[in-house]
Amino acid sequence: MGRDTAAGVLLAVALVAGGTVVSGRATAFVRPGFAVAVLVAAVVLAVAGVASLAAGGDDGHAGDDHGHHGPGKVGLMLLLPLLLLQVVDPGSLGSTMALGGDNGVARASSTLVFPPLDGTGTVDLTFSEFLGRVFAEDESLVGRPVRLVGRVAGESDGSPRLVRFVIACCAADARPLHVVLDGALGLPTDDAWAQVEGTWDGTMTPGGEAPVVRVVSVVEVGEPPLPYEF
Amino acid sequence: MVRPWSISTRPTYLDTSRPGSGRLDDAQPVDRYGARMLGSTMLTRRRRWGFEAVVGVMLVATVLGRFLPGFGAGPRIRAWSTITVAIFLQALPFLVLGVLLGAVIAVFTSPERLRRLLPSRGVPAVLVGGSAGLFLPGCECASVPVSGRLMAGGVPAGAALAFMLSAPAINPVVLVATAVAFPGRPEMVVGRFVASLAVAVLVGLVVLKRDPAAILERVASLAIDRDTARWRAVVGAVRHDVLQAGGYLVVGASVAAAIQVLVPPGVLRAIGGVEVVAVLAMATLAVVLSICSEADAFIAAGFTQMSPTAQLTFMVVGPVVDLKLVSMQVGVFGRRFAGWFAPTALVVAIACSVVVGWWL
Repeated sequence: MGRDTAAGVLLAVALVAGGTVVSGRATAFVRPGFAVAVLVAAVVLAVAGVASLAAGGDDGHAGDDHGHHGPGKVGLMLLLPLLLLQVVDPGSLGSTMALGGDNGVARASSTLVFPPLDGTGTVDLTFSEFLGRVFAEDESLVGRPVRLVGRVAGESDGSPRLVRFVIACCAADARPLHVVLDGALGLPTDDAWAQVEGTWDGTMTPGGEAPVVRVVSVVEVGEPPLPYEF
Repeated sequence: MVRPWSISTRPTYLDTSRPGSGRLDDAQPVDRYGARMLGSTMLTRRRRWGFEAVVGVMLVATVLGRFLPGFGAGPRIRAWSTITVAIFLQALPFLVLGVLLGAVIAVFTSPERLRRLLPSRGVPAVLVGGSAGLFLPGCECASVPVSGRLMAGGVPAGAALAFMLSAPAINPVVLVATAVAFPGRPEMVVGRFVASLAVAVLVGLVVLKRDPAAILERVASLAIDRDTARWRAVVGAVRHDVLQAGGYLVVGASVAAAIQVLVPPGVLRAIGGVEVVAVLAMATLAVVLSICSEADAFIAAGFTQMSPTAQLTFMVVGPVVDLKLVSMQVGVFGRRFAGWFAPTALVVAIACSVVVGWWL
């Protein structure tokens, strides 16, 4: 690959990768701390790209590719994620990837000790905390009205659930968390984001994978700025 | 003026990627038809089209994306895209860190100085290389280009590869992540450290035994031209390594993403009961998922129905052999070398996990 092509690829990577961070799109793919690192990497690549172009003008011999093969065609593969971002614009993981989960990640944290929920009234909980309390058999959760925000799944096949992904670094390591919704009427379609209020009376699904939440109200909401839990 | 322009009307970003086309300092540069080029201004003009082609492709893609949002992609294509992009974005900072570090090593250290840092005998050098992994706080995407540059700089292949295998597994960031993922089970952290270091050293010793001429041949092409200005050499090394290792990274990431989307997740959970099968299944999963070593402990911990040995196998195999990593190794060391290195590392990693897993 010629130096100018290579410089073009570097600048394209810098621009699109940096752009996902600046526009806030990056949180659909990586955790926020990583987004900052992506931005730094983008700046480095931009500098390398501009320097490559600058070196081309007055450089009679090809200098650094001197006498050796440059990077092969495979470097063009770096354009694939950029094209996917620009054309498909995939967004955060949808409910299709949440099928068949067993909430294993929440079960792994069930050895944590949760202080009892204080106060009364409806409490906002993350999926991680809600399910952590469920698997830790927290008595203060039973019967307490809770509010959860997640994606609707299984609405079309009659087994409605609310799902949310937990990630450690990026969407490739996403693990789905889900609760089964009972008595849910007027759910938005699959993949829509919804805020669900309900209570858990201690009922689990027959296999014990997930709690069954009795739904009081459902409101369709927009995608939160941070679509994943950590 | 006629001939170079007639070439440049073709999609030259493909032309210029032909092997050898970056070699513009040859005594008698020739174009794709074997004709002699007329001078360096022509060369510059011809090569500039590669840059413009890339810009053009990206602009067209951006405009298309605007007018056809989502491009009619179904949920599976979207999930595949999300995961491919996620692996790419997540790996990018580590790739750049590793490439920068490698470039600085290549340009600012001499082979003599590197050799003086290491014991001259093979076995101690491998031990030092393996232990040096403690000091590269990144993941596997950083360590592949660094070890390629170390080898090109004269570090023995066994030591550089031991470093490559241990760095993503035993650096402090990964160990802390492991401790967080397994609350109250410090033996998982110790087990991971011991097993991963053992894998790195053992594989390094195997490389030492085998004649690594196959890699050295490939890696020698990474050598730096010491006549050019240093900044130019650094930029050249960064550009080369980002494109070479990064291109293969994307290949591996897109395959790993496709498998994640296509294979139903319940398949693996169904076989958690039988120990031997569980260990092999977790090893396979580690290879296929291609997760960053800083995240793999969280995944392993999520497999609560698996034995500690199977969980350990997942964490020991992942940083050593996975699809994106093998793909990058093909790019940096060549197909022939990666062809025996990856299976060797996989077998050693499973064996070490099982042995260490006994004490868990």
